[in-house]
Amino acid sequence: MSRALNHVLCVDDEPDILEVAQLSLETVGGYRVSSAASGKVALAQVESLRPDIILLDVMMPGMDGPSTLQALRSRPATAHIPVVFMTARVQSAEVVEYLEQGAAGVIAKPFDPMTLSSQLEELWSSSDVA
Amino acid sequence: MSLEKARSLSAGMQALQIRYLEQLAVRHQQIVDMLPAIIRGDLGTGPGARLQSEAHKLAGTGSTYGFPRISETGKRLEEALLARPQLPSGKVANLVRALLDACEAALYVSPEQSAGAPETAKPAVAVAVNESALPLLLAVDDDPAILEIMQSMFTGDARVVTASTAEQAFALINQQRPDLILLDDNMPGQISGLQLLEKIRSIDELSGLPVIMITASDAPDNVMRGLVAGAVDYIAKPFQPEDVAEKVRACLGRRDKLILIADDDPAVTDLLAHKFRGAGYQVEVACDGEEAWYFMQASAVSLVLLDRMMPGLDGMKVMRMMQKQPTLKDIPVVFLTVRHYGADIIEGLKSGATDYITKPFDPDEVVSRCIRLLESAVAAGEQAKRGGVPAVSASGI
Repeated sequence: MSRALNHVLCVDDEPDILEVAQLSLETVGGYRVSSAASGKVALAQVESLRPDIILLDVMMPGMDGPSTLQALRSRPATAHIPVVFMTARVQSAEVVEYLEQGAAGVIAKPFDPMTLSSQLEELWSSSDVA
Repeated sequence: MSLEKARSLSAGMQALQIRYLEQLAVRHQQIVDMLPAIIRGDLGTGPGARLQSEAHKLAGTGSTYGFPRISETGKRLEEALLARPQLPSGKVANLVRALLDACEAALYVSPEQSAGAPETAKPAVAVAVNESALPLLLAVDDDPAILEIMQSMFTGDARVVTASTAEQAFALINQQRPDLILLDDNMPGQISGLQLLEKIRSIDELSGLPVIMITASDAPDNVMRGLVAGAVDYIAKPFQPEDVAEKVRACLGRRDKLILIADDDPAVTDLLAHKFRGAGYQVEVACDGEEAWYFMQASAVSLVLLDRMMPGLDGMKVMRMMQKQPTLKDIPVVFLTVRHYGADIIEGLKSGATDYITKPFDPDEVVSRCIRLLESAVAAGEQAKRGGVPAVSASGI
């Protein structure tokens, strides 16, 4: 039997996005949601939070999404956590690039709060750890 | 999703939308503050990066909060800045204005508009009107009763400043650059309203200000004097307030309309740009078909005036390319050309041009035909929204 998705860590430098993602995932998906305002903050917290999945913005000042993903993969404690990128750049070549970097999937920005949970649930179900 | 969850999300979104709109008002003002530097073309690297960052943030958040136009215009600006760092300042300014318009539409939506809007685009709240973002109207008349009526008529729709002499009005125009001037043609003092209009039209940086003349009567002489001097419209005394409101609304509505003029002859583009700005429109000029094609992809153009014969990509080719692109195919195209043989005109119209104007032309006639075309299209759109048959078709010109 597959493991249920319970805890999501959202990472975005834009507070508007963090708030609406948290509301949507908590209300519609019924998940526990933690949030981080940068890649660095996410890395500092991820081992204690131990989320099931990470929703990670691609374009952030400082440490961007791909660098954060690389850092997560390099640590044994976090290497297995599925990471879903959030980005406005969803041309097929860009999606292929993100998947090659190790992302479990891509959610297009701007997202619809009504369907964010179902999109994430679908990507969780198809991930290796579910 | 269950109904209960949908209701719960909707209630939560309302609270977040209020905060988003409050922050949007701040961001909007920050971008407005950058606009003079953008127009001058000396924004600088730091503010330029900040503008790109703001465009990115708005592109990524607008639709999520129920404002898809913010996402669309933000994305267009961000992509243009990324693709062409040396983009001409006029083009950047137009993209920025489109984004600001989208923000204003979200910030100042009326309860009636929001009630009729689709659910995805419906804001939960209308924030308090930010007065500084309303259009500025200058009413000039020596009759205090008329000025009082003007001030009370536009509360909530426009800021109104008043002047009782042409001299006072000229000082206010220089200080505040109103979006529209309502000008009595017959005032005591050293200069009349009509002379003030002629003065405004003779000064480069003021010549684009739209002026509606208030005339003592609708006698043809009175009306023609103002129109010949460059007034965009006239109101004859005694007037009905609703007629004034309608003319002012039509004129201010043109601020959102962008006319693209593509011609390789600068004398033509300069003259027409000047006339269209004087009628209250935004104007962008392209010196060839390629530049016009690039610009219309990046900006929300309302009407294109295309020189039929241009070096490289000519007007006919540009129109055919537009017809193949879903986002551009409905934009009215007016051909400008020296080819005035009947067969050429028929070919142009058959190929999809909405109108065809031969050179040499009367610039006032060009502007009048385009205004009629655009306002017929607006009326037809409103009629269609109500489910009826358009009163005037675009081809009825």
